[in-house]
Amino acid sequence: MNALVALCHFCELHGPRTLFCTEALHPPSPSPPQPGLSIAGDRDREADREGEGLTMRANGSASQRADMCEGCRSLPASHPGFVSVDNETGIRFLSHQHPRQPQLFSVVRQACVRSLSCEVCPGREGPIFFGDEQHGFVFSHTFFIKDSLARGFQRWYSIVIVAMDRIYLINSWPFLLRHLKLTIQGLQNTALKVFDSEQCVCPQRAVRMNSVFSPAVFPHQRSGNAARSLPSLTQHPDLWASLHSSFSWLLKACGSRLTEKLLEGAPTEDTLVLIERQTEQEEEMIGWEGAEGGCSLPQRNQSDNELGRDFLCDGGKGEELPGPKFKSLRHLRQVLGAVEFRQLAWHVLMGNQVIWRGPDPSLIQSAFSVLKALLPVGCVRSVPYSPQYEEAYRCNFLGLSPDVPIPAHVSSSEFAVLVDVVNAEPNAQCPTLLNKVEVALSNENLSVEVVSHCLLCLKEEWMNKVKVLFKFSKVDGRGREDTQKVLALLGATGPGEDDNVRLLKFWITGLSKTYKSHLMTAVRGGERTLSQ
Amino acid sequence: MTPISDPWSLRAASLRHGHTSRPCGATRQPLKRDIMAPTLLQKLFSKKAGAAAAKDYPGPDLCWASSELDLNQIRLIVYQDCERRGRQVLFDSKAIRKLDAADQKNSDDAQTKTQTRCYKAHRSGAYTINAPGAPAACQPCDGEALPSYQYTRPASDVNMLGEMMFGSVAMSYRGSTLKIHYIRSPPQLMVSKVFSTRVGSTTGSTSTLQDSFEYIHQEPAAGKSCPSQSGLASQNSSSIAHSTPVDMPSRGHNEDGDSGIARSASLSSLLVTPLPSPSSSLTSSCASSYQRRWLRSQTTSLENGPVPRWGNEEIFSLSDESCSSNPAVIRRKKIAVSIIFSLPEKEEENRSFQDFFFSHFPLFESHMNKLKTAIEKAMILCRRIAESSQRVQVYLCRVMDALGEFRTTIWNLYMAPRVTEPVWLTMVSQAADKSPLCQRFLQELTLLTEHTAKSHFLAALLTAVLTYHLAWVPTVMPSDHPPIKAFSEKQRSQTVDMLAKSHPYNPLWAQLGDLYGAVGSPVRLARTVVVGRRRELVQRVLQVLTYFIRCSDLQENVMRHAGQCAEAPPGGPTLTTTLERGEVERSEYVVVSVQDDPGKPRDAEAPPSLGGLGAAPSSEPRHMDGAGALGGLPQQSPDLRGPRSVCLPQQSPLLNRVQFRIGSADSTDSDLESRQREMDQSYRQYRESLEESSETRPAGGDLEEPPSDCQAQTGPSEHLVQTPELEPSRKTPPPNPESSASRLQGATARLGPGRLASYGSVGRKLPVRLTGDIRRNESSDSALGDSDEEEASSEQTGMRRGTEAHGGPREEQELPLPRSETFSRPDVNNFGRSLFGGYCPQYMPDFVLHGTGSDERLKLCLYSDLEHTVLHPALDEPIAEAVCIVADADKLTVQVATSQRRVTDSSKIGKDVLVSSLVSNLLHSILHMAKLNISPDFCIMHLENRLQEVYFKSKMLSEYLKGQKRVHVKELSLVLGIESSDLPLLAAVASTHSPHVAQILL
Repeated sequence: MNALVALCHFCELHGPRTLFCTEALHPPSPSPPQPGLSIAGDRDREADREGEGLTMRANGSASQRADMCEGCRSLPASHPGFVSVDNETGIRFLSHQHPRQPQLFSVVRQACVRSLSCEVCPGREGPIFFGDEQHGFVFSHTFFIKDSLARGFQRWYSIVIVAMDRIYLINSWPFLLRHLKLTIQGLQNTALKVFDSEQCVCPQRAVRMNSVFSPAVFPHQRSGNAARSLPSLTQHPDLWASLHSSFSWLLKACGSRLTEKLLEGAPTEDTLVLIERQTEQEEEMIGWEGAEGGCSLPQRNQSDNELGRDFLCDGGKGEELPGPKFKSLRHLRQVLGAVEFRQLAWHVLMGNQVIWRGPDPSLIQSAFSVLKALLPVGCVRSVPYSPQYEEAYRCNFLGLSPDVPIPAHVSSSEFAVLVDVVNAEPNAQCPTLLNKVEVALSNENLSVEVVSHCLLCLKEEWMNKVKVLFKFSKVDGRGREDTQKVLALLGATGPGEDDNVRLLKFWITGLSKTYKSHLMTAVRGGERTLSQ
Repeated sequence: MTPISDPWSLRAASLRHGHTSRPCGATRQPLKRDIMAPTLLQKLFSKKAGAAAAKDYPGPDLCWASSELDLNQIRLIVYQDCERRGRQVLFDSKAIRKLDAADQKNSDDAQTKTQTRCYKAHRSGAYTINAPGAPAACQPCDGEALPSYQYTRPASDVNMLGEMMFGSVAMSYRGSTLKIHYIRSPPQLMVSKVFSTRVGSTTGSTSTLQDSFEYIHQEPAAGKSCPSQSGLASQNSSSIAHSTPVDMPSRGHNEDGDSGIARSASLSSLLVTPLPSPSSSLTSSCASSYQRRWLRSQTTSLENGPVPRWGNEEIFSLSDESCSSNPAVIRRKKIAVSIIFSLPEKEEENRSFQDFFFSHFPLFESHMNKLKTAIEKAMILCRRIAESSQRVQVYLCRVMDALGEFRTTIWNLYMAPRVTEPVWLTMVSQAADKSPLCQRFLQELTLLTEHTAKSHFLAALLTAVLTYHLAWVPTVMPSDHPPIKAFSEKQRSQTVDMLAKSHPYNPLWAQLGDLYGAVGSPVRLARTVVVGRRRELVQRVLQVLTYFIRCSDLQENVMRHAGQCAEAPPGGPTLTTTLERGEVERSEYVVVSVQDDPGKPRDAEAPPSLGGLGAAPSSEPRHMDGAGALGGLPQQSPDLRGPRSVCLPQQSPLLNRVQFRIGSADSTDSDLESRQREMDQSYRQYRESLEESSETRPAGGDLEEPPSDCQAQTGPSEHLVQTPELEPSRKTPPPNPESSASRLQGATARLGPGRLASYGSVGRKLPVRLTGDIRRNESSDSALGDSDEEEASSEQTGMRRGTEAHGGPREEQELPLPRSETFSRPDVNNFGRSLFGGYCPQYMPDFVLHGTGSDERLKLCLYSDLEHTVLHPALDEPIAEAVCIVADADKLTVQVATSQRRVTDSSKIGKDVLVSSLVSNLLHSILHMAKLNISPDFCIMHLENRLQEVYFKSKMLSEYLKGQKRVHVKELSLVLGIESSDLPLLAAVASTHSPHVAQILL
């Protein structure tokens, strides 16, 4: 919890005093680095470093030390304080007599004074909440500790919890009260035992009644007694360590008392497919390692990178190689011309094989990486540059060197497009998706980023249709008539219907395994529940 | 359409209105309905999920409302603390007697004709729930009204309460102060806000009112005698005459003021540069939720020091805005407004009310602020009235009205019926099969879609809800990690989970913001009210909306201290080093028994237990023999044979018993290795520091006895044997395992990476401390050990030097965190469970969503409520706009009312909602998919996918708007294919992830 806990004491000689204070220091910034946000974190760290030395503490308490007695002090000045680290979160709980930061020093001081000499608690023992925006907010619990030598045989203490988030602090009232009570009762009970035993040895009441009261001596007498420390009142030499532990626990437990279950959206199909491929790749690697007796780690990383880059739509690999390359779909469109591009894009979207023949591998690669953006990741099977022809079922993007012959059945097929030799007319009606993509590409006002977002929207929109179609036709196995209805519902009918359907069917191949298997099992599960 | 039945049971609400009033007929109605036979749907549902859920979640009827709230249990006291006149009670609802009709039979007869509405309202002592007529705040209190209240003898406890409100010593602080007191007997909770006043330069403020009270006293016609208020006041003032204001240390804020840290999450969200827009589908998940929470944790952080966030200027105004107050004339005067809740005597009821109160405090506070404003107005108003008796009556009447309003609101908040199973939250919290839930929800949704298809009612309502209750957006933002379990299952945001652990923020606050949709920028706070006479229809609408109005689900983690692990077995203590259990990885601990084998390579040794060392200094010599109280002992490494290492107990026979539990089950060898490496380094540092400290601290030997004799003679056995003498006292705390005080075994130590950094310095300093302490304790008979001063300073310089030389390793002594066992249970007292109202007898201002039969009260109060929300948002951060979506299920219209502009057309409550084509397409698709018998689960998945599409579109929009200054709507539809009807929705969604959108479009 974003708070600090302090034990305060109303010293009969010196008034309200802070005895012991536990703060929680949070790790600087857990956030994924975001511009503009790191400032605060940096500053935190600065402050941290400043507070690291002893200067603060010394400054803060130097003035007070002169008029401090045993009762007003917890750790001796030489004691370094306590620290506990929550390894899971990196939060450090620090205990000293006073907080380390100067601004917190006065906040705690204020809380202490208010809790013990300003605020009124009915019955003097019990919880109060008070505070304001300037001085922070305080949950305070006052209590007495038995002391056979003290005035009225008891001393007055309070435990304060200071936070800036008043709502949080108030929300935590029942929790804090419950646990502080335990801590306090523990202290009181131990002190009571000590008190009783001391009274047995030397009944103070009798001593006091029998002693001659002389105004001259009285204050002096009393001052000697005022110096008893809490550890001596409880005969608990490890009291401060124990309190540190207890306060740290309180801060930790209060901070994690309530947790949120916050859901986020399902990953997109593209993400899923990427992850699946990566896992496969890794498994393969592991297989290799087993066979070859371990391949070195950097290599593996490299291949991972390549893999990632390969699949990412905007893969920047081309940069390494010199020569001309395509920077974006729009660029490609400009180079090819609108008509040619439209043809090419159509083939890509339909899942036809795109063969790109040319002498420059990097150019081809850049063209592919640009074109891949049109498809779901799962639909992309690419062989960037190959010395011989690869069949269409192996790849829908194929780069070849200029002299590689292409089998006759391929070059005559309408299911392939060869970029150096343009052939194969697309249908007159284009899939809706392509039309929309073209609108975006042709609008020069749109930046590349906007176009890529636009493409993402379109792809996701169509992926969702793909999912419905998959569910409907493949999982549930519905008939033609129903399928037609669903297609209409999806907005896939009308002009370009054939192409739309073709596109949807091709895109089904791009669905992730995770998704497909989930739907299959869900159906089985569903049938089971129905039959029950 | 199938006949709509009542699928959602409501809790049986019963009313108790103080002594005189009785629940009116309309509120009885729901009771009857609730007992009706369960409908088909109910049966269907309760068979599976319902039963399970009911077991998991005691619905609202089982939790906070277990006790009934009596309106008279809420008491208002207004107190004044004045420099000159001391303390005076300005209002105490307990001391006010209303002149009942019976008492005033005669006068009643005479005056029925002139009776005002105002008077009528007072009859019952509080507003009845369905009281027709204006709410107090809106209703001008007729100055001509007959005196209907009478000030009686003040309650005996007012003096004490005054002390509690203002404190025994006055504060010089000028802002408003919030206090909460618990009064044990009779059990009461008192919430006070203490304000500084702003007094007009004209008349002497409330003194006139005070005079008026005196006047009542003198007025024989007023009935029973009441003691003079001024007499009371003087009594008070004498009792506090001695107190002088405490000058609080005021700190300069200039430093933090311009530090660049925006103190409000919402305001800063405007300044923050937009989140990086991902170029691929790999987006950062839940970015906006994360950011909001992170900012909250930062803005409320103590580590930045206390910086007033906002609303610091709250004062109590005793003058009109018109008469400018002269700052020079301002006298020191404070006014406290206190609400006292009498708590139920029964323990259980008491606790449940308290739990509700504390978890819903922001709402209580917001209503208190409203009350305060009303009191302010009453005071200002009554000062204009010349005639004394009338002045008092006007004042009392106004304040009683405001109190009645407050009481009713609180009563409603506590007692009103709730939607027992909000769809979204139930889905989130329910781990088991969700199919029945999906099926049920889909059924409702399609029924409703069909039923209202012509009017586009549902589409319009959903458009509005999705536009303003924006917390659904993070729930559809794609995550970038693979699903853990079933695919359809959305997953917990791991980043937010981690944040909550490392930078705790208030989850209740986060949830409230989610519900009110205050996640966009600028921050808007939205509520939805469904009005309709057809109860079933309204309830159906409510139920459907609970799927779209989303928030996080809260779990309560109960942490208990792990059982006392280091209990000393007979014959000698065992040192156990524990690591607290990792919450993420469910791992057990490896328990390693460390044997004291000198021949063992040091790498394999565990580091010394620092706890044992640390405990030593505080053990006084006289206790040492008896109550060594060191649960264990530090272990020594052969390397530590520096000049000072002698004083560390080295060769204890107990070492064999030392038990270290290291790491978790999955800690691998490499982990151990790294730890050993760290240890090595730590030892090296330690050695170096030893050498250095012996050089740099020439005085070391002078100040203390030679360290070698410090412990070499006393020996470990003396120190370390835990004698039974002290045991009782250490065990005395109640046997509750949670009791944390005095449970720590002084010598538990902890082994783990990251800890070791401090090792060197601690070890190094130890000898000094030991001896220093012993000496101090020896001299502790004298009043003050003066020698400490020098010692400390010389030690400090020495320490500092050492610290600096070593790049400043932390010097604190490290102790393990107490291990605790955590188990989670669903939290009931949270806003997700309490702010979805059911079909309520009347409009309520707090609920995120509720239904009601009549919009009468809504029309009267809505705008003042909205204005109040902007001024005093329950969210504890400034908001730009308050919005209320009003759906009329009878007329099938949806309107949005906003605090920013009032509607001129009196027939309307707000602006009509434009139906988004995205939303209506979505509904259309879902409806037809359901008709095609596609499984409900899949339909819901598809629904989520479609919502995700909306999110992607908003990303596109925000990307497009990045470079733009002004955009035409036409352009958007042309260029991006965004229809104008979708624009408000998309812009609102975009504002959750890209704050710049608002600046361009709104």
